Amino acid sequence: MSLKIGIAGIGHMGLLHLYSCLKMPNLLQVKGIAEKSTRNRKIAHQHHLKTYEDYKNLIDEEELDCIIVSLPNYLKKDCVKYATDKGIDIFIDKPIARNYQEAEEMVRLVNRKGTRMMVGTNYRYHPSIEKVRKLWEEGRIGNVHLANYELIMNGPFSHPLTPKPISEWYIDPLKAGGGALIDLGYHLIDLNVWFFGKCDVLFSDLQHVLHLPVEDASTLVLRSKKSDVVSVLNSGWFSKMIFPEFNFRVNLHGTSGFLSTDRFSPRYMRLHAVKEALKNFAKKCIGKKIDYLSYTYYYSSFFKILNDFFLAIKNGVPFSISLDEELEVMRIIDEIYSKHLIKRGNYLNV
Amino acid sequence: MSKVIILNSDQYNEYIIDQMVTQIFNQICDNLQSSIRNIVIKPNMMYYWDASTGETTDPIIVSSIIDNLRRILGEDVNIYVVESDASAMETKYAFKILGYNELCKNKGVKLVNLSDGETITKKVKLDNGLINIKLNKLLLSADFVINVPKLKIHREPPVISCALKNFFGLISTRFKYQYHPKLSMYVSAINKIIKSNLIIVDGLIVNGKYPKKIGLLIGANDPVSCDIIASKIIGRNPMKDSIIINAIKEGIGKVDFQFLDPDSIYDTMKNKIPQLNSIMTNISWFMQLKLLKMYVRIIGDILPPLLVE
Repeated sequence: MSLKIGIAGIGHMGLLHLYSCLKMPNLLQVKGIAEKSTRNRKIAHQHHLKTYEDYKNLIDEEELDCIIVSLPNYLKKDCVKYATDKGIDIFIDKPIARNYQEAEEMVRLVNRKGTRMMVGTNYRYHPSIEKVRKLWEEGRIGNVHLANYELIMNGPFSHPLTPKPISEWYIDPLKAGGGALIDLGYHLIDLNVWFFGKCDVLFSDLQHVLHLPVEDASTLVLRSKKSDVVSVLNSGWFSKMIFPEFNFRVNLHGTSGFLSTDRFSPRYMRLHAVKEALKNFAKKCIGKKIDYLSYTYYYSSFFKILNDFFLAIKNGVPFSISLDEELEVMRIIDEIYSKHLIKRGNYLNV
Repeated sequence: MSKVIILNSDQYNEYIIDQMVTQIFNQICDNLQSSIRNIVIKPNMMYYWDASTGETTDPIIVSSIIDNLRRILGEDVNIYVVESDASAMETKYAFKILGYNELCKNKGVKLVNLSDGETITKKVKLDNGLINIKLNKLLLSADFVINVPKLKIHREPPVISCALKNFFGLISTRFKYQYHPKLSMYVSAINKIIKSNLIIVDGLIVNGKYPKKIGLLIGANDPVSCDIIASKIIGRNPMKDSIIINAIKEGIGKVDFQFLDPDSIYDTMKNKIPQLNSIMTNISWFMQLKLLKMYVRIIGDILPPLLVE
């Protein structure tokens, strides 16, 4: 029997989730969409989907098994609360919340109601990360002592070829919970926690290159409590990037060598796209399942993580991403923001 | 006859830029009238990409212009640095991000969003129709207008984006994207209403195929002459550029001009710019999207929302 799912929010990421879900007909059925924007609701109508302005109506009127929460950060907690009250499992886009307290409350609610929630930290599913992780686990580079992570993109600023206004909530510290650190840095901290467990913050620096109300660049130095690995994490929003360019890398330095995602990432994105398209064409010809979005490289991980979530729900197996790990990520972010006295005031407690 | 001067310094800094701007003032507008009281400076601000990307006028040039104006006309002259909201760019962010808030605060000049405040609609008769343009009243009270464009190519349609096109940003209407199908007409119309008294083109960093520091400034007193030179420098035929052709047709500027640069650096500049064949870029982007959409339709793959838009 297929899962009955709903999607709360089909902005940029939510829309990608919707397109992904529509490619999983054997696994799920999209029962409805909750979306405030008329323009976005029209897109859902094009796919003959029922739409609601409010996620509460979606949850009340459809008998959902799962919901994808792809809302602005300040709306996530209430939506999670409403869904857990109805016993619905949740896939939530990162960051899990605006701060640790909010995240902890959400996790407590989920646990108390016996529902399940997974955070969409899709960078764990990037092909290059999967390869690095596998080789590291096999012991290919011995004991790792140092790690570097970089993720510099255009953040809230749109694609240079199709400039669009910034979403106001994205750069509002009250609504977003922070800037580049909680947005892109979240992925890097999550990867580090996944690789090396809980960490202490040795150093952090937040920059305001673009004079926004939130930071647009961050540099962190973390030390793993378990293994003493020291990691340097750089994230930023300040770069004018043109898709399919993707400025992301992880380097692990061990006692018998090093591993870099650069080794496993396509050097020429357009050539990669052609190769993947041909592979999918061949798969289609022999009746095999295609690799969705593999031609984009960047977006393939979004499909994979969602597919993994639904499979775990359907088969009743644990999620690959634990909520404890996500709480640790939020704890680290909160510690950094607190240190930098970002004038977050009482919004640590919103 | 209009005047055009090209200045270049490979190893430029704030001091050298100031010297270059002063030289342009001395050679292009050597007899500024002391009766000038209200001056508007129009830099080119592009989305949230600062001067280092080669998309936005460097505030250092505007800073030097302000210093020169005060030197020549006195400290009490009213100077306004202006820009309007655009389809994607809101000045409330752009002024901060691009460094203009700080510059105007430090220099004690007014920074004005032309989309705010009192506006007036002007009808402009062109060869091929009538155009209505919404303008901020401030522009109509200016005694002297300094046009400080960025030297670059506008991608869609592929036209030179320099002195003439920079004034498109004087139109108060925010969603100017609707005017793009008739871009050259709107550009001519606005240039008919508001005259550039002095043009200083920022070619310090030029964004061709990629951004490159070339340390170029062009000074002129006529937007058409200026854009003809700029167009040649960037490697395009000005007589195939719809904005320039339309402006000539509308009698906005002069085609005969006098070069004032002593070393004729024009030819050498041409080779320094990382050339971008914008038409080819657009065609290839268009073709890529077409092919991609065809692939997605045949194979049943997903097109990311970014590419759908």
